[in-house]
Amino acid sequence: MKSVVKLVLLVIFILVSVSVSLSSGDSGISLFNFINALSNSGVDRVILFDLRIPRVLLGFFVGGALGVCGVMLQALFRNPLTEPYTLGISGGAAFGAALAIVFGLGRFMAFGGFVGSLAVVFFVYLLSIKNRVVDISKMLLIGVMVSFVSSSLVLFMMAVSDPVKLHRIVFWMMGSLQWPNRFAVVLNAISSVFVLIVGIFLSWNLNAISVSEEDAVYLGVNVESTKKVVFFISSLAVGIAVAFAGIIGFVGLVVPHFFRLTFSRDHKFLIPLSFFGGGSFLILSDALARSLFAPVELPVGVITGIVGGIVFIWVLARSRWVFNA
Amino acid sequence: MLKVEHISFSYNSKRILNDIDFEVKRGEFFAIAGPNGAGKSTLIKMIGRLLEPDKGDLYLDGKSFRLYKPKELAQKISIVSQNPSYAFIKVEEFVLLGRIPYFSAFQFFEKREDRKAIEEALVMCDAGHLKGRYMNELSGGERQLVFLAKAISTKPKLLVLDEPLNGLDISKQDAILSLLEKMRSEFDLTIIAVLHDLNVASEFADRILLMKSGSIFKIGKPSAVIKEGIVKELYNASEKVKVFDNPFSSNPFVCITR
Repeated sequence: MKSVVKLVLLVIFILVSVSVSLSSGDSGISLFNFINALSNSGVDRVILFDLRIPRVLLGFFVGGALGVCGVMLQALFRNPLTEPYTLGISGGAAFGAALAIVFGLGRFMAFGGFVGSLAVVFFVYLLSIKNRVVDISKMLLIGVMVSFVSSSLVLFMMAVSDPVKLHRIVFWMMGSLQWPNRFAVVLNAISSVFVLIVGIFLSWNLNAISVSEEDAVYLGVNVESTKKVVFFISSLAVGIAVAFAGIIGFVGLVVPHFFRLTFSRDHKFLIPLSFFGGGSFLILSDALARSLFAPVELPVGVITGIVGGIVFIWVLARSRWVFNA
Repeated sequence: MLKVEHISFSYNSKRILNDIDFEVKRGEFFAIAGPNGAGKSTLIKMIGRLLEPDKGDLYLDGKSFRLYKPKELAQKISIVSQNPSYAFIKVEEFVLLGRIPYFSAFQFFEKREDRKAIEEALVMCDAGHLKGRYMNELSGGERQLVFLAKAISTKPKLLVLDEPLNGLDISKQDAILSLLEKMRSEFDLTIIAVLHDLNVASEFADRILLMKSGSIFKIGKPSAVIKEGIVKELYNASEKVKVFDNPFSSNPFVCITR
């Protein structure tokens, strides 16, 4: 299939995702009513502007950030299983949020998640750096181990919490876009667009590093600076995303691979594609999570896992792709 | 052209390179040989600036490596490492990576001159027909041609190769060596190559640097350094190793007898 056709399909996918997400949910504003709601005042307009649009925007920016960070980290680690949470970000965030809930500071849950994720990432970074050089394989292993430790600590806190707190922790960990306040939307918009722009600027460096770190040095690429910038901005963006949306798995893992398989390995295309693809995929998954068993809302991570996984396996099975040939 | 001035390098308190000092002249084919663990690949990594010497310095055209910006130096020196990595990308995209030293920080797309350079490099390396194929689908010989095309697309002054003939059959070795000769004459290219095969070094190199235990063992023209006594001492080889004059070229030829 030609690239132009694929691009048109992606634009259609984005438009469909946004429309479906805006018009689906408990109170069911149909596509037709949705147009009316834009121009008239009333309940539909309130639902649309105060609930749906902020939710769609939050989902889009969170999904976009996860997609871009997933691409950059996979390039840096040259490992197909790397995702934004691999470095312990999710474990740290869950630990921070759980700590806030257990100590009765539920209002600061998002802040706890953010601080927890950054603290863990900083810890992983310090342990992986030697002589100002970041050891990528060591970082990956330490990240996975720290993730295990912090997840176990979360389980411990869950075991000793009362049922109400336990429920809050579990719900937060499953990931949700239910609380799209203006602050969350603006902060995620800034961080995800920032990470997108920096990522595009680094695309040639990532192209070289994703093939070989050694050869990238021979090409004059500043590999160490690139690693540090990617690590820092990814941690910040994913920390912010996790703080407001919880742990939404699979987007940062599958979306980059999907576009690598279907479009290009070139990061100047892959990064923006993963941004728009990740954003649209998450809002579509959120729409399904809200509508499939309405009025019961499923955790969005359930949909991203099932739909994303199946689509990805199908694409992978049809391709000639090898991650590291 | 390249001056390596008294460089030493240690890793984990172990001395890997010890007071290495030599100069490579413009247009020269300079071979580096020696037993495994002699420090040849470490020396190549120093030339590629992957490692910095603890002592001493390297100079290109009289200017210290430290005074070059990384991309500026990468435009002048191309390195094909021992087992170069490749990925699931098309040959054309892979060769394009060789143009990265010319890309500015805010450049997203390659320019027409970059396209021209990769086309020329692929044609020069007889790999033009491979450009639409994926790297992992190529044979070892084809891949080596593509690695060379990537290196040459940078239009370097100095081409550094770490065991470029490794794992290739004799006809592929012939093709690569002929290509190197062609590049040398057409681009006035200086070549430094780590070669395990002393006979190839003897036939093709202007001078050979023999290394042992991180130090220079001998340096000079093939006829001066490939001598039976030197080869036996360098490799701790037995009496079965003999050196005689190649009847076709009169260059020294090393063989193992029964």
